[in-house]
Amino acid sequence: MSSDSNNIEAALRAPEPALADDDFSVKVLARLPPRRRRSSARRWTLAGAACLGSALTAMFAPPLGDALASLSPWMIPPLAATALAVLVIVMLPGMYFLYTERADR
Amino acid sequence: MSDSDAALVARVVADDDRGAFELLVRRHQSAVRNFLRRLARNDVERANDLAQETFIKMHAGLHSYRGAARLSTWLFRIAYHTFLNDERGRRTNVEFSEDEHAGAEDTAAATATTLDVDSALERLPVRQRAVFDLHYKKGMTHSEVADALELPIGTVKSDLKRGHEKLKGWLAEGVSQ
Repeated sequence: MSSDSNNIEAALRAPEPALADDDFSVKVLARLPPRRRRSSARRWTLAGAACLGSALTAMFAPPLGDALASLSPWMIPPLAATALAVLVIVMLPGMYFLYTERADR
Repeated sequence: MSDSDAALVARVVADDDRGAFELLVRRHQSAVRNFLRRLARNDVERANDLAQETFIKMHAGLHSYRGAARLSTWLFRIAYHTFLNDERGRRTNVEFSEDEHAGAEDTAAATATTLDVDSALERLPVRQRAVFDLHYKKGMTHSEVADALELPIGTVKSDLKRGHEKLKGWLAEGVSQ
């Protein structure tokens, strides 16, 4: 290799200056979209909602099933009415969390 | 001991941890900004804007980063494409072809009368500037450069060879054309 080539090679390999951050990272962070909720918080929320849903179901499903059965113009077996009530009770918080999750994305 | 890139990426992906992301930006900002300065021919403001855009794209795409390449390699790929997109936008009246651009010498920087290696580098077409910067300044191997710029490894080698010849010629002349 000629001395010219060696000189070029040496100049090319000279280290480049390290640039100070100078608020660069702050500016990048300021331009990011709003922060997602922490997934651990989300997990606890869902676990809490499941417990609450179960408790509400245990408390209100049988009387709600009876009430639905008595209100209905058709003959609905109490078991089906209870299942319907359970579905409604569980779906309401489920729909709420689904909506908030979507809004959070 | 500082966290590895992989650990910081995991924290950003799992919890959108902004502290971890800031550490990643601080760790890589100098290399990315220097790379973009080289591509933008030392236009500091433009390079900084493009570097910000690069890190924002990185944040948006981190969930799809599989760790097959080093984070820095992936980051330079984003930076390179961000620069090319910006360059296309600036050349709306002139048809932009990356291949043509890669083959044609840039004359915009050929105003200096005396050339040192750095200003000679500015005369290289954008793809060769990128290849030279990643190989020599960032210490990447040929295959890492090929991976970062999504080029065949043969193209990287020939860009380095041709670029060397050009630099040698320009520096021997000592005067820009």
